[in-house]
Amino acid sequence: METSRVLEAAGMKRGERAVSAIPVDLGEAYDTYAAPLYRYLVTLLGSEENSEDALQEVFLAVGRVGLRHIRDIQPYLFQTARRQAVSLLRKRRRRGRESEVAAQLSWIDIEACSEDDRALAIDLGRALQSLPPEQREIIVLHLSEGFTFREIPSVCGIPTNTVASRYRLALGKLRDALKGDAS
Amino acid sequence: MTDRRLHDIEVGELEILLRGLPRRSPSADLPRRVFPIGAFARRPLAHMRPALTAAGLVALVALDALVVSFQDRQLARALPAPPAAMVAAAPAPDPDLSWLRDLGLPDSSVAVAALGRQAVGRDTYFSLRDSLLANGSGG
Repeated sequence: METSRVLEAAGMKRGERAVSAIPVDLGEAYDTYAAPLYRYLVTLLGSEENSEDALQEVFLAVGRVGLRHIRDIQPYLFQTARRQAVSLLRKRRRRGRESEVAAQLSWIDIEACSEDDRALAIDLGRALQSLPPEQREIIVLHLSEGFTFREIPSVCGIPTNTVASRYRLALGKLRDALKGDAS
Repeated sequence: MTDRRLHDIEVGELEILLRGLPRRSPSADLPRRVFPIGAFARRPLAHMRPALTAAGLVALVALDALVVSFQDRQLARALPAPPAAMVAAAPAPDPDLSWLRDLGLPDSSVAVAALGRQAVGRDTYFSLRDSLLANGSGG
């Protein structure tokens, strides 16, 4: 397994995450949280366009409320993003356009992968998108954005034990999906 | 067929792989969409809000004082004049107020004004009357 090379290619430290500092203005909040929120939304929605629309709504909502009235910005932003995503997914379901999600996008930037890792990234992305959204969001928050299991309930509104069990279940399903493809 | 590195992958290795892959970022022009011109513009006079708030408070206090003062005057007008018997029994107003001292009332009392049928506060009026009755000088 050449995981160390993959880590190097990513140009990131393990456990890297958005810093939960208090932004002084909306621009700073955007600089700190837009990318993590975007990856969370893309992984939930499977669409870049929908994710950017949802992200715009998130920051417009913050602008309307006023940054100084928000006590803890990170959970607030992720909760708002989650509401936007759930609303968009419901609309799609009502219109019978769930197939649009077949874009198979996740937080993984396949274009940025090296030639050697691209096939691997595509396989992982596809396996991720085969998970139900409630398991996918735990995976993206924990593995991509570095949320601990204790922090995830503030976004998803579920107990820590449920977070942990969903995470284990999701990883097992991912492994099975990848093995299934391999056979 | 998946990448050979994913064959028989263990959960721990899978976690490391997922953490390590390059992460997507929003497009460069997204900030222009998120922050359209005017979307977060301050409302007119928003910069004057603290000054306007202070001025509003002062105006409210002044209005309250005006209303209280007006109500006091209305109340004073509504009070009945002292009973005629009390007025008749009282000695004529004396500039040196000695007769009030004889009744045991303080100099600061507005008894002179009350007995002269001028408007006084209700409390003053009744305390005066009670004092007069207690001293057997009215009734």
